[in-house]
Amino acid sequence: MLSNAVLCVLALAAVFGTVVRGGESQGRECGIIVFIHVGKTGGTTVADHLHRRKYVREYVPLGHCNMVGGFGYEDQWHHLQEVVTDMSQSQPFVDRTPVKYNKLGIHDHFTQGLDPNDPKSPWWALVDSHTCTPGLMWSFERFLEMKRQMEQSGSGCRMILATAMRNPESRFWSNYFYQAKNGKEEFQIPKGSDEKKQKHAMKLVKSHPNPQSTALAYNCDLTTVPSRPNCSTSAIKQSKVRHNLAQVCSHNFSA
Amino acid sequence: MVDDKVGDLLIADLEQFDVVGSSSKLLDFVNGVLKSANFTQVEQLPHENKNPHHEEHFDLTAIHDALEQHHAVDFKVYHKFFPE
Repeated sequence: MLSNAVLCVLALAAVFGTVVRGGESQGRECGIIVFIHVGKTGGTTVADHLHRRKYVREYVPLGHCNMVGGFGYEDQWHHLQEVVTDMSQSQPFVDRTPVKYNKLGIHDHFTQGLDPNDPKSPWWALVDSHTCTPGLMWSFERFLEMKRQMEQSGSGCRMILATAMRNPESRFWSNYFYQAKNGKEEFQIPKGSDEKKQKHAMKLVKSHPNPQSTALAYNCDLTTVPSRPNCSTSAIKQSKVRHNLAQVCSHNFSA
Repeated sequence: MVDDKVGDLLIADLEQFDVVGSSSKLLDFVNGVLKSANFTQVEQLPHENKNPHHEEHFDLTAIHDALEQHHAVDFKVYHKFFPE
């Protein structure tokens, strides 16, 4: 026997048609998954899985060395800001055009679902922040500001910040053999005695201290000049969008 | 250089993340992200090391000790989220 209170809730739900859950705007569930992708942590596998989810409608790379040439770093942030702005409206957006659809393949069990142009269709964007991008010392405040903008707008859209780390010892060996296989000169494992190999590995341990933290904090800015993210300098020069570098660099170093 | 101070700043940033995962439990990580986004659970997450590892040529204890010394901040940040 249903209680009067439950019957009342059911009746109200029937009248208003829908019950708005967290993360849902009125008519369109939407959000952004920001994946901070540290090399040799299984990130490519993770990104591929996230990329293949049913309602991931957009893919926004941040960094990615091979894309910087024609698509500046600040241009990428500018595009992300456009997505954030659209998801921070009190009414759901209806006219976004996906930059890149998800990677649904024939082996996926589900279908594409609602058409992306259907204003009722859920819409998620996946941000993959990987190589050739400054790390969290510069980007974290910008992500937080975007997250606040979305979540305080009342749109119901959310930004999810996520990253994966690896046990440092396991990551060292994975990176050691990966770089050797891919021909990085410094990582070429010497032929001959185990003593030579040991000396080589030990040298790399010492010459690249704290690599995972470096990737998270600075990433491609391996020279660690706190006033400027070197890795994005060339990208910023090529960007169509200008950005005040002082803003980019202010996080954590202003105190 | 990532020193202890930067390591602390990094931990403070990561503590504000919605999901921080470990490579040793990638499926849990992906499911955590999907759960945050109200997606349905994934069933499997096939992942293999793409490169052959030949660690038998190395003195693993010596390398481990050197890693603990020179990658101390990495261990600190990792163990903050994944104490073993």
